[in-house]
Amino acid sequence: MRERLVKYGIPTFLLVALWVITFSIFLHPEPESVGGVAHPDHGKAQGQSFQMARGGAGAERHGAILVHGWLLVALLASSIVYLLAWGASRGVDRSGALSGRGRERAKFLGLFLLGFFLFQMVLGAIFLSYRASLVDPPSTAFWGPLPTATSLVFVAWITPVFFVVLYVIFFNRWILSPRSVEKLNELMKMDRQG
Amino acid sequence: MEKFRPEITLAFVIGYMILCVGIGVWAMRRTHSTRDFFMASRHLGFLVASVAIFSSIMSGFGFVGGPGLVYKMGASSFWILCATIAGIALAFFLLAKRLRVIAAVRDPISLPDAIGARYKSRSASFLAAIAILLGVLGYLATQILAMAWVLKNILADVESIGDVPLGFCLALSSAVLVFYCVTGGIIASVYTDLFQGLIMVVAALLVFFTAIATFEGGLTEMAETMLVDDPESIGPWGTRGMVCCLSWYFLLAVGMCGQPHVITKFMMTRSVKDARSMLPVSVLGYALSALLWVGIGLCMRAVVLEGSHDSLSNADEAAPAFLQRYAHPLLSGIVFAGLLSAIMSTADGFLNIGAAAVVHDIPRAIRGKSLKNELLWARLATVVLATIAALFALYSGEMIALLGVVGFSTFAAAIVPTVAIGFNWKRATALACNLAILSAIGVNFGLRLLSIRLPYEFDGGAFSLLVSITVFFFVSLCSKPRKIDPDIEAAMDL
Repeated sequence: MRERLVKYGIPTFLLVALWVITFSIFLHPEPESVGGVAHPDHGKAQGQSFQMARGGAGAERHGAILVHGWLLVALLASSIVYLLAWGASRGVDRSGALSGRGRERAKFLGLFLLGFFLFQMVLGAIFLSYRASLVDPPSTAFWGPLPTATSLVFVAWITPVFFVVLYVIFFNRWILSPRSVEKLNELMKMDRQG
Repeated sequence: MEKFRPEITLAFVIGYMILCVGIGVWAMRRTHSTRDFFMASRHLGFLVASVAIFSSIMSGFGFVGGPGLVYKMGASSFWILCATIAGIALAFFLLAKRLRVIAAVRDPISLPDAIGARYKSRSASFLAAIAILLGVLGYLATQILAMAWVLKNILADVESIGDVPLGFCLALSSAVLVFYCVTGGIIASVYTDLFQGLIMVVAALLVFFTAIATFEGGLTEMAETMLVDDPESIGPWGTRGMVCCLSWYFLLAVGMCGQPHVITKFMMTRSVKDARSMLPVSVLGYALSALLWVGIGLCMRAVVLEGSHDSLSNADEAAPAFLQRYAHPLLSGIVFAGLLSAIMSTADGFLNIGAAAVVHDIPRAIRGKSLKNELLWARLATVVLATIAALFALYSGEMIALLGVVGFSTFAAAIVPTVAIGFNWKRATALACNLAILSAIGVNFGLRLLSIRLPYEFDGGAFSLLVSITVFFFVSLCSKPRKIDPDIEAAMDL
């Protein structure tokens, strides 16, 4: 039952939730400058598109859908971490290293949950600092060389390195255990014998 | 040295092209069969494979289009970069081991071959080949056109040469590309990728620091200049808006494991265990070469806003304009070679998988067997594909832009569900695979051809990816799966 919930329940929930949030954004009245407007001094038109754009008023563009945006990115991060964990556990579940209630399984779940919360925290912080910057956009606070929310986009960029490190460290245990290598060699041997 | 800037750039580019031809000749001696031509005999070391992976991802779009996007829409395109590490990690977690194991068991020479084996379905293999071919043609044509424009600009700056017709530049650059792809197949492609990837990293690092040094206050001063003009442009969503950025994030992060020119390389390594070292190298390589995107883009937007540089008539001129004005001539030469590298390293991968679709996947799906003299046909198909793409680039007008834009998303929507999910999930069915590919092609092309704009600039490619994953998942749950062959099932259990 629990296995079926993880296997079908979580992806079904994530897919349905992604559709619901996407359509709830679509159904919101759209402000005119949502995709930016031509820059008055440098937005030379070429064909139909302009070459430099301005975003305009952030509160007007995003104020009404900021929570939807946060929910969307939270769902995307959840989907990505779910897929990463699923990819890592797919094989080892069969060869036994992560089955049952052992320490290895607890470590696996704990580390993926930690990565999940890290990811969610960074993405959530982008929304919080962006919302704070909407009060007085020209005096936006900086963190490092860029406005705080923009710097956090780069933190979000490198956050998945956490999972890259897990992949490298636990490769022999979660991704390709010695038992899996043995099985693969047997499989190839059988294949060669026809 | 400044006086000879155009000649120095040209010398670097000529040197680069000669090296590519040399690698082609060297690789020819190692290419004796279609297995060598399409799969490098599964003998790639981890370093070659990982550099080939990141350099295939960072195409001309990254080196020319990326800075242009920052110039045009501020921080919006940072979300494309932001998605890449997650995307590369996803591709490795879901597919690196799985595809290499299936390659060891069944010895497929292309992705549709592996799809046919997994689903026991010739129609699935056929549709995957068609989706790949459609994406390849558009993508390849845009890469070839970009290559020709870069060469034309370089030659135009050399006084003794002057303005040269675009057709000539297209023929010349395509000839080099086709030469090494025809002679050495994927072996030449990945070894040129190795060399190209290294040039890209060096070029990107040097350019990034040059861009920062353009302003006394470095990145902070650039950001402040943009903030004064328009706070949204340097905010997290740039001028394009939040929903667009998040839809790009979804498309790029999840769609990365659907890029055939990237994931096919998982099947070419010497050992399954190589994936462990490949992932960090690919991530690091991409992250470093992406610095060029950020550095040039921010710098050019800031200098134009500040008034120390004229407005650009085309956002894609951001990188060439920066190199001509702010970079040392030697650096400019390296970066222009890096630019051609970025374009060619993607184009050669496309040529190879496109040729495989034409001479191997489609005939096998229709006739049930391979062509005779497949290697000869593969070489011919490479020439024909490059010629069609080049003609398409020259004469198709707006159609090329359409296909170029939908290339990535067609791959993502068609291949993510069928391969990234289907190769890990035994419940997935051939019917779901076929319907997912058809819906991917239909929604992607339908939205673009009918010029349907989604609310809040939600990206059409991201929408089609969501549609195809949903179709795949629910149709699989509702249809009866065929029995998987025992060896494939065992490979999926590993």
